[in-house]
Amino acid sequence: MITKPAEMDFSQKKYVMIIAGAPGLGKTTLALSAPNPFLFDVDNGIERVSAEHRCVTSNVQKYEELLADMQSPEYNAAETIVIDTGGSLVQLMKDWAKKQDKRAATNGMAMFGVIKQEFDRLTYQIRNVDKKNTVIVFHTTEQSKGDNIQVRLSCEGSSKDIVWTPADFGAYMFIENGKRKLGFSPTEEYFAKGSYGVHGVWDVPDLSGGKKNDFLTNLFAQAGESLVNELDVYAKDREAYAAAMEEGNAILASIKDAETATAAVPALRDMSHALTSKDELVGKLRSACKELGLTWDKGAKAYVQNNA
Amino acid sequence: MYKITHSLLSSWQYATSEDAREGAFDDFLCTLRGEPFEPTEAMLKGRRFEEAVNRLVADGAPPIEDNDAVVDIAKIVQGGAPQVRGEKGLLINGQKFLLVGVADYLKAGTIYDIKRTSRYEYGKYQDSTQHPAYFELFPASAFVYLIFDGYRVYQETYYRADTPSIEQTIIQFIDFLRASDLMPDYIEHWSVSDEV
Repeated sequence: MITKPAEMDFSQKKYVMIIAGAPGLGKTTLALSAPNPFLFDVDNGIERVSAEHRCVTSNVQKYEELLADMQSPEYNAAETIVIDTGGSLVQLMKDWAKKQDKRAATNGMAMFGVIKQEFDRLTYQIRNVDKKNTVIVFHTTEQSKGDNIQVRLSCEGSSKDIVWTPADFGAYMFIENGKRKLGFSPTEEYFAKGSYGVHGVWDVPDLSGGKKNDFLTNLFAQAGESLVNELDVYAKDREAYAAAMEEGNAILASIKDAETATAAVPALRDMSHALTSKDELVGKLRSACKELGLTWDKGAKAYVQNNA
Repeated sequence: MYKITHSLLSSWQYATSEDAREGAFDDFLCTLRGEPFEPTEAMLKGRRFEEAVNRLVADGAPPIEDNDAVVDIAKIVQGGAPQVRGEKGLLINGQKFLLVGVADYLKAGTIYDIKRTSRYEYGKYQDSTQHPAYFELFPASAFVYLIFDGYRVYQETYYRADTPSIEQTIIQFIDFLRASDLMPDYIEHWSVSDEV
């Protein structure tokens, strides 16, 4: 189905978010601030969450039980699925993976291959089939890179590498001057990912005094608003871009020889451009000229035939 | 005016990093001095992969190997302008530079770069000089690395708002050349006319 930018509707958009950080910072509580959450407590951490912030929780000992709980009415009713933690989920998948594939039973690499595939399938199902927000919590580990210490997701195998591609947000949680912070922009110390106007470092609210745990609910709502606003602004740019590309492509289509190629240069330069239309069209002009065997003569300020 | 490219900066950055392989500094010197060097098997593999994507996008030519990855990436870049060259004059600490780069694909405000790597770990391109350099060259808001590790395709996206300027890296590079007595090599091989 082809949709024009002006017809796109993101009101039902579901978000995928990664929350990473050291133990004890309140990552699970933060994850549970997403809209109407359902928690897969693979790390057995729900008891560390204050009673008023707990939600419907699936405690499982086997991956098969987790898959069964995805058929429950409680799961179906939830708007957000929280996986706590991604690293523990991979551990849980190990026995299951060994039963899926003969090689995986004896070969560690094959086993992690099966896990990676299943991790990908599972997150795809939550996001695209079941149409729910997904929040995956990770502990972190440190690695040295040159003079710097870099923080990375703690997770065996390479499943951690596939979660970033579909993620809308990847936030690193840390303490600065006694306050909890969430970093959405990559730095030398940590990797992160922001979008829809959510960038930089955000303060994580203190929940003492019975404050509502709704940080991610608000963040998703704000991202939704930004998405709509961005769409409005971008729609104008896109419209101008589409018009420029149409006009520019018509100019390029007229190029048949050195004379028409030379005439295309001021025509492309003087027309109105938007986004990257100028660079794209100039790139296409150069390719077209190359195909016709034309080169730019700086002195004559004109295209000339190579063998002329 | 001195020409400067992401490839030169990247070669220097890698050659002077802790995890540089043996011979990396010699490769950097070759790049600095404009000397040809034998491409590694990894480089050739990367070129073949990128060419397969380009052929599929341009002519619909079906890929011979890595079919799914080539098709996946071709779908993303389809409709964009391939191999777009960008040039921009920069004035840094009173010195003129001509920053030059070629975007694999440019499409509606996004730069795409195709990478074929033998081992991928997320955040691999976080410290790359490529997206800071290319944000200087093109009026794009996002830079997407399209990465194939032989098994699957990954995307790493960087936004202009989150990306530091390339200027600081260029300053550090020039400081390094001066400290290492390599500035004469740079001047000899990378000087270009101010009229470019």
